[in-house]
Amino acid sequence: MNEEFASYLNTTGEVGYVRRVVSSLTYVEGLPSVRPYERVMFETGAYGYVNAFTEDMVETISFSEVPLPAGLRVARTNEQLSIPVGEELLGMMIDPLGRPLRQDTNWVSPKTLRVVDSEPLPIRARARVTEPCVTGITIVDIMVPLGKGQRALVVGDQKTGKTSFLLRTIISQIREGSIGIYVTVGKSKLVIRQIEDALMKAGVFDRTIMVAAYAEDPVGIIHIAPSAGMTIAEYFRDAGEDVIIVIDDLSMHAKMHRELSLLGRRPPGRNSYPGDIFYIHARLMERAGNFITSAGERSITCLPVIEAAHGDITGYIPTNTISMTDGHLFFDYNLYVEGRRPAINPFLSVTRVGRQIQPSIAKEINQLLTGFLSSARQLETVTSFGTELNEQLKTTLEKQRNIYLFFNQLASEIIAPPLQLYLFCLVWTQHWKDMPSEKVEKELHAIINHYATDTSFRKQIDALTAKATSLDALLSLVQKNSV
Amino acid sequence: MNYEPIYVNIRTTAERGAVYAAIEVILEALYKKGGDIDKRIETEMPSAIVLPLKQALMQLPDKSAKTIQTYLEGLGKQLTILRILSLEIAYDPTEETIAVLTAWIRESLGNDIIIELSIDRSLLGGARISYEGRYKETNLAMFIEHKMREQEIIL
Repeated sequence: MNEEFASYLNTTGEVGYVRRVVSSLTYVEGLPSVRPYERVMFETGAYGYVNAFTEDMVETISFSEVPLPAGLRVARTNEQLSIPVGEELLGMMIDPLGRPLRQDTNWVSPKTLRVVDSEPLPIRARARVTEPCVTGITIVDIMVPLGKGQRALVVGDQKTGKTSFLLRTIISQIREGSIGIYVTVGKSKLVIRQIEDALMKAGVFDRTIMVAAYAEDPVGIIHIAPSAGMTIAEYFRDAGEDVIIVIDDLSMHAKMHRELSLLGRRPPGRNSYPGDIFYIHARLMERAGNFITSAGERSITCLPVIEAAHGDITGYIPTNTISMTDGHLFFDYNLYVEGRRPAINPFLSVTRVGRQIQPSIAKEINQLLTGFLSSARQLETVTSFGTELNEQLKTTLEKQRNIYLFFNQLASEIIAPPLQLYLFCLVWTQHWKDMPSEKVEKELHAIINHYATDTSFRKQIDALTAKATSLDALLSLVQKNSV
Repeated sequence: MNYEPIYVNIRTTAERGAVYAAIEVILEALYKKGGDIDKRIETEMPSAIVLPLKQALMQLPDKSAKTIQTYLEGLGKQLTILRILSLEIAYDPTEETIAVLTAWIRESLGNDIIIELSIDRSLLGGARISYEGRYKETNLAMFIEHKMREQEIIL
């Protein structure tokens, strides 16, 4: 008999027998004092946890990769499902149970264990979001700004550039001093490898923890991945760090939860999802926020991803998640096809806390652009009928084109806020008047590259934007000093 | 119907399995031409069950195949709800040992209990018992290990 298994049996003095197995769900007879969410061990050495109770059996979810045979013995561990957490996790790629996934690393398992499914902190431990969360993506930082501690949903079709946006955001936040956690829920090994490579290439992997649940992992493992990531985030928050966590993606998690619920013969609701799917996701989202800790205010910024089918954000899971987050960024497939990168639709995106903490000049730009872009859009509709355009209309449409070019970013570009303001001023003051879009684009990228490589230029721009107290002041300063 | 005089003679899950199989054979033979039920019981049933079963069938209001079928099916159902105590020991127990063990267990837990016996040669001088989710292991190996650990701590 497995020594560890025997030790659990002797310590708890309780045993159970597997009586029925339905995929990852295992029904166990016995274990009279077992508690919900308690970790259990099967005789084969595999682990699982208690998911529910039926009248005479305990429903457990096993983490075994092979189906368990009936008649197998099960032992209690008298511990809630927990994972090892600590500084040792930084720069590691782990599975949702806290085991390393790369064998070539010098793995030292952390000694501290933390419960995976913990209660969200109460309202008295929460503070207002007060600090902006800079993403380095111009359209987001100006039009739909995020705050540290905000839950911002990223919703959109497949292949619309969501992962690229998430990677740049996490890289940008790590460079600002946060800890990054990237949770992949049922993704392919190739995609996970690409994410890992991108983080390594950006040189931020030593401040990142990747919690990876592969598509071929048992359902139970995929199902706990978001909670495991959040547990690690809570550890670092309590250790005095700001954390940004990406959950890629929550719609897959919902599917896994639906699979387990249907296998467990729970009554299906809308789209066959169980009734508790809202509770499961809301409870997870509540674990993020801006918190009052002993080290001061510390935040867990959460970016859950939802994949919308054919741009439809009115589905059950998207609407649920929209209602429990503090805003959403909508990745529009049509914009993606038009060539806009990132394909974020600012008119269908919402931020509920970001605007209140946006720096004053950026806020002014936001208001200005919201009005300008919506009226330019109306104008675009009129001109599409082939009307002859006067000079003023031509200028407005050119300006609109240049603004969209200014919002366009290459997949590797992270633009600092001062540079965003500077570039906006150039666009707004018609610096590139009567220029073809290719040339404007080229010039924009040249300035971005120049800012990244030339320290004196960077200092000059930073000083210029810091000096201005209002948008008008900044516009005139940029006009005077445009480089 | 009272099946206690019959199941009290079944001591282990293996014996219960044999009774299940015998019930199946007898039920099949019930409606066959020239099927002698008494003979079937004598040949198929474990010897400890033959006499009490015959006596129970004698007491039935009539000896029609339908009545016997209902009685035997009831017996089968009763056997499935017997409580089970799992016992793991290191050696093959003799009939006498099984009798002693069963008597001792039934004294404390009642007559509707049977033993699921299994053999684990690695057990040294002891047993593992589990019943209704409770588990207890006592053996010499554990005792020695425990004492050695205590010695290690002292040293």
